[in-house]
Amino acid sequence: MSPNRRAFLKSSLAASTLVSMGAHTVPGFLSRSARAASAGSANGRVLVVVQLLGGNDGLNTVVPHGLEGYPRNRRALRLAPGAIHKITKEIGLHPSMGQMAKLHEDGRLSVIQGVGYPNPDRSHFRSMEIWETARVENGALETGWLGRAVDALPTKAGDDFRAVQIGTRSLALALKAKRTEIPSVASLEQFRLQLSGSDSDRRAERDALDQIARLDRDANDPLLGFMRRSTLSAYDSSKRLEQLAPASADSKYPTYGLAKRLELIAQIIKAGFGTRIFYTSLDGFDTHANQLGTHAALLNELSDSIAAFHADLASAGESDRVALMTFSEFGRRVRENASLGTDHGAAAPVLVVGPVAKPGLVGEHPSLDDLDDGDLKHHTDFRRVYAELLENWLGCPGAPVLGTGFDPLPLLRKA
Amino acid sequence: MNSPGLLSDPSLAWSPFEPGSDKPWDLARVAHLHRRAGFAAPWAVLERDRRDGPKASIQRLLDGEARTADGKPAAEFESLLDQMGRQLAPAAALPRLQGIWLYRMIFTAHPLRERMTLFWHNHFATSNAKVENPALMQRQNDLLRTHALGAFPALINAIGKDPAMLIWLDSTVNRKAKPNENYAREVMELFTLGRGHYSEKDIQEAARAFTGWFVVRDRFQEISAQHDDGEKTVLGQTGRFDGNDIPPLLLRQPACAEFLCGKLVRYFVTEVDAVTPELIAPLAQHFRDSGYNVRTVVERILSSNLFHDEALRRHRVKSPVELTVGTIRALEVLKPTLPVDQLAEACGRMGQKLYAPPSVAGWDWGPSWANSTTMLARTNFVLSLLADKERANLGALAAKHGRGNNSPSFLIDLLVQDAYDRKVQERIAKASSKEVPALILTSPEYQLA
Repeated sequence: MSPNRRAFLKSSLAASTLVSMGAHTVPGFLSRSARAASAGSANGRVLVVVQLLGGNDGLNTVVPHGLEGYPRNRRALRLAPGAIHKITKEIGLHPSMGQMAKLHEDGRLSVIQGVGYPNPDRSHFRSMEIWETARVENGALETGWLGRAVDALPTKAGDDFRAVQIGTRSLALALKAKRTEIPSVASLEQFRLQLSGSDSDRRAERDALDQIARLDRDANDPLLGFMRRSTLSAYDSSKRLEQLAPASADSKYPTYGLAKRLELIAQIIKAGFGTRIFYTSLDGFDTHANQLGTHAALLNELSDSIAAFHADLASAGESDRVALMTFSEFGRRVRENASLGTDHGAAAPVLVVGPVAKPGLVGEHPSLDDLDDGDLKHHTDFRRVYAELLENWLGCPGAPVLGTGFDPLPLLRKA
Repeated sequence: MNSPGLLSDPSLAWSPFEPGSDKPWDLARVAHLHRRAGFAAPWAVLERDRRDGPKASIQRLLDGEARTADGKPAAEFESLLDQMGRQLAPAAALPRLQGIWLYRMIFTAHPLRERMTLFWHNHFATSNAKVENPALMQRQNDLLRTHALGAFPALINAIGKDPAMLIWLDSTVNRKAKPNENYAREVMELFTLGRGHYSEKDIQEAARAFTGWFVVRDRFQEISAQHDDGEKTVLGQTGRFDGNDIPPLLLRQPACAEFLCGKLVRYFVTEVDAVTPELIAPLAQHFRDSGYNVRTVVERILSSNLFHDEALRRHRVKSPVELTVGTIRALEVLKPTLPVDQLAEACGRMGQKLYAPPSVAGWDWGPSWANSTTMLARTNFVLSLLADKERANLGALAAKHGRGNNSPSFLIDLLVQDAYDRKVQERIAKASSKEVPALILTSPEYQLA
């Protein structure tokens, strides 16, 4: 664990002691009709973030096949121009991203090129911290950008959890909030208490377990308080999610892990939960060696899963209130390495799927000649993308979360 | 967090702990030692070590006991387990590989050695998800165990040639023409120095030194024709370095001992308090002076005032492996042996898949073990263990140790000692005898170490 990450955990623990158990920390479960929940929240819009772990090779995702520098730097890893899904004459999507190309044709995909931050760091861990906290300075890592957004969203007793991570990773730094423990759900099956005995035995045992965690403890022991809130958040969210209908038997999702996670997200959205932010990830992008096949399979999983998710929401009439963003901690070196792979780089594209204002490319492709120590230079700060999602999508002021000076990059249709 | 006094007094912090009337060698201290340095302990061990005092107890942890948890001679057990490991097929299932280690942790006569093996598994985090060869993963595990309490220089040399590590870091091909930077980066960032103590240029130059190192058919191989024999400058030193020259250059940096001691202090002492460079300095100096002898520095930590300070008790979160193995050892759930492959899967649901850490940085530890899925998995582990009446007979356990009445006091002494405040004690006193074990084992206090 990096020192920064540890410092952040420490300060987030300290911060949590300021808050006693209350409406903010316990997702509430007053029974309400499904639709009332979304109607009741500020605007019912939902953000889904898909983190691509390991550093996605942007150059072989949004491919500048028509630029002279591409074949020069990518000899073994060069993708055949004929197979690329063209967006413009010079730029197109990886051959495995046919479903994504269809979303583009349907006017549902924006590709923001050249996204990054000043003085890029090539350590996975540090760069992930920067993207997830939206803080480029060292230190000052108390919370994640989405955690701060959750802290800022209006909330009242009885609300559903405002944000949730779907997946088996430990909670993303992006979701660390001060006022709440954001739940993380691996799968619905794993998210049930395995109680046994008769109904009344089970109820009694659930109550006893709940009580032992709920008892107030010494406020001077933040770690104990944190474990206690985490346990309660688990019991409460599990009780709420047990009410969710199982996924329909005629699921149209592919069998990929990411597709299954997005399907669960769609179930929660369609059930009318008040959850505004969903977070999940796809791992394996650290392609130092033999990249071609691995990367193609990952992009296929990404593309097919997102397309199935979008189609599911569209047929439920929900796709205009859901925006999905993908990001990775960095792109990769322009020049391939000797192991048929690529090493850690810098600027890369960000994809946004949903009711986008301007489908297609946003911003120029970074130059393949004017490089920064072998890496692409960014022209769009990632915090401008975040500002758009916060201010114009979730309806949450950007400056308190991101700091000042980051104008929203126009991406999504205004309601 | 509030910084208890010893954390800002390095000299007193690292002085040897001597019991006294204000800091008695009591059950809570003995149990703390075994929670931190081993995987909890059965009642008879707690009682014995309370009688024998801290010095003898710590020495036994460093040396290992003569017999395993179920009474077998230690050497016989170790060679049996070594043999099981050697027989693993390259295509063996992951839970089988994990199960062998969990089995060893449950029964071992040398819990501290397993605990340190786990420390190094996290430090040199390598995942079978990429290596896809349990036999190579087992070989790496054996390597970590061999050096677990030995000399760090030997370990860092060996790990750089370990096939599983090199496959994991995509470093099986290191050609002169295009050096692979990945191992050079991780050996500095994660294995020895930590960020901020080297430059990108140091990485690029060290990568040239590692050229010629290959893994061919699962074996480490040096191919001299692919070695870049030119001059390199790494961390201010210039020479025609090869891969073997890099670890000594790293070990000469003061940052190396500081980085490793910082991690050891978080592993053994506290995950949540601020650990300052001033606190680490004397420990790091001792570590360097010993030639990076791990046993020496671990002994210093376990014998220190800081380690035994009440104010730091339960300032760590039990990792899933600590929680499950510790519970099984404390409750003596030994026969018939639990299905260890299922136990491995339960640990995975709690966020710690052995041999499959999430990244080369290992697990995040501390509070990050807790999220709603993992907390439910902890509770579900407890419920399923207690439902297994064939193995978990807590009434018989209390009777065996002469604590046969129905009160919860035996389980509290065995599992949490001084952890509960009055309100929690009262709630547990009210619970039915059937409920008590589940309430204790799922309580937030029990999740801490």
